[in-house]
Formats: sequence, structure tokens, C-alpha cells
Amino acid sequence: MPETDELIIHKIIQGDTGSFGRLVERYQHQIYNLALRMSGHREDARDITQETFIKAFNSLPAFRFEASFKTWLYRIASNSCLDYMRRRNRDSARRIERPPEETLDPLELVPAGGPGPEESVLKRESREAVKKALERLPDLYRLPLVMLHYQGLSYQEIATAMAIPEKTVATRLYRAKKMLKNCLTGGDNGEMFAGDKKTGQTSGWRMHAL
Amino acid sequence: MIKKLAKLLAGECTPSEELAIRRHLGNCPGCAAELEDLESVGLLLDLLEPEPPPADLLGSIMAGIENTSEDKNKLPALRRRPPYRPAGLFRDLAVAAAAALTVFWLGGSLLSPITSSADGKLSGAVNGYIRYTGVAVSRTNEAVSELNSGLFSSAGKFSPIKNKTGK
Repeated sequence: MPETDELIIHKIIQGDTGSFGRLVERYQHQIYNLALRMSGHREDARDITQETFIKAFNSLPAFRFEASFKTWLYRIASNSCLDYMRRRNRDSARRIERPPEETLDPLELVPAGGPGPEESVLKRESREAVKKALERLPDLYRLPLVMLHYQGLSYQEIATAMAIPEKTVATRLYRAKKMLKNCLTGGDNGEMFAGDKKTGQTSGWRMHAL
Repeated sequence: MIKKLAKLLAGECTPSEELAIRRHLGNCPGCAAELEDLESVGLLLDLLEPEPPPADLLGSIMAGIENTSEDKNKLPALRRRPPYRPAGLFRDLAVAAAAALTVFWLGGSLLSPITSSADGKLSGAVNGYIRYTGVAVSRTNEAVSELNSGLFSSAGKFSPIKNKTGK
């Protein structure tokens, strides 16, 4: 039976710092993909993930065993993502914007008998469109959507991670999906602007994150 | 109702909530269309598949932690202070009160020539303070008079401080 997170944490606090590697192995996939969907870049996702785990390690003495380690880690990851995005947005005016990375497309290595090349191209284009639309969502809307859809967190876990009420989670999720849908289907000019990342603007009206 | 649809899709509804929503959907084409809309967003998001983290990510995280641990070891042991306890607070308040009394006792005695007995010391301290404040008040009133006569002759005048002891 695998060791629980709490048991590993006890060992680390007692001096077995190497055991932290087991927690990293357990959660690096989830945290990395959260960071990837938030930042849109693999290098940034790597930096955010590294920062998250180092902060978690340094904060372990303050860990209260009341909440689960997973929720606690996601709280740190959420803050790391949002801080990183804020710094990146602040710096983006001073450097040339990197082009968005293309999503890895396993369908390009299609064996014989699989979907044809046209279907692969179509799927790749759809994937890129979804990726771009997701990245254009305001950070405070994108984060709960990514945590719900890709990480499988519950409303309560998302609320704890973002330190917001569950009702606010529900509102942001609903609005995020509507904005995404509008962007992808060409509703409201099909354009979604995020001037400052706290608000989303669609066709002239401004939505403030609750 | 619309937010409840999102909740339904997220699997966050209780069985009774879900039943109520499904019943409503049966009678409301608008909400049924909205649900379909939200479901389609989920299908679109599914197009993005998870990616494996870089192979050396674990190694670089553990190396970063090693560096952090080394930095902490170089810090002096006093970096972590013991938590402040309530007993310490009361002790500190008692010491402060004793110090204030001592200052009051000795201060009053210094301002007054009376130093013989305990009663004498106490009256000396009190009288000393009264005389001291009386002198301070007199000096302030003199300054006020000068200001009133010199600079503000045409404007409103300051009122002198009234010494309640009458001195």
C-alpha cells in the first residue's frame, strides 16, 4: 500500500528531505499541466512547476494537517501561476512576444489505417484554436476552468485553492465557458480581448472578475 | 438555473438537485440548449490532451531544494525565535509597571527637596510633579502672551492654559 502524503510529510519534517521527491513524482504531472494550460509555454510551465514545489518544500513546516496536501499544493500552484502571469504581462511590453507553441500532435504519427491526413490537419487546427482561445481568457477565469476540466478538482477544492467562495467559482466557470464558446464559434465578433488580465472584454462590454 | 447547469456538468449536484434540473430541462428548451452549449465547450477542451512533464524536472526541483537547504544552514541559529507566550506578556507588563513606578518615585524625589520618609517621599514626588507642571504651564502661557501681543495683534488670540491647581 503506497504511503500517504501526510506520512511522507512527517518524514520530511523529521529530516528525510529526500522523501520530498516522492511527493514531486506524485504531483508533478498535474502541476505541470496546470501551469502549461495557464501559461501556454512549456518553458514557463517548467519554471512555474519548479517554483511551486520549492515553495511547497520551504513551507512544509507551516503545513497544518487539517487540509489535504493536494489542496494545499494547488493553492501554492494557483498563486505561482497568477504571479508568473502578472510578471510576464508586465514584462511583455519590453520584449518581443514569443509565438505560441504548437501543441504536440500524436496524430501526426498516425499508423496505417488510422485517420487520414485531412482529419489530422483539421484536428490540429481545432486544437490550436482551442489553445489560443483558452490562453486569451482572463487569468482569473482560465484558472478555475483548467482546474475543473483538466485537473478534475471539485468546486470546493478550486474555492480553497483560489481562496474564493464556491459561488464565485461557479460564476467564473460559467462565464469562462461562455467566453470560450463565443470566441470559438465567432459570436460577438469572435474576438476576445484581455487588456489587463483581471477583466475580459467582449464586443465593447467589460466583465470584471468576481 | 444557468449556473446550476454548469454545476450539473461538473458533477457537483446532489441527486435531488440533479433530478430537479433534469425535470426542468424536460420543459425548458432554452435551458436544454444552454446545457448542450456548455457540453460542447467541454468537448472542445478535451481536444487538448495532457502532456508529460520534462524528464529532468524532478532532478531540477530536487537540486533547487538542495540549494535552498544549504542557504538555510548558513543562516545564524537565532533566525527562528521561539513563539511569544502569554506568560511572558504578563511578566513584561509587570516589569514595565515597576519601572514606571520607580521613575515616578525617583523622578518626583529629584524634583522635590523632601526625601526623608516614605510618606514624605510620596508627597515630595507628587508636589514635585505639580511644581514641574506648574512651571511648564507658566512658561507656555508666557509664550502665548508674547505671540498674542507681537504677531497676532489683529487676528484671533490664543487662550492661556488654565492650571487646575490654580498655580
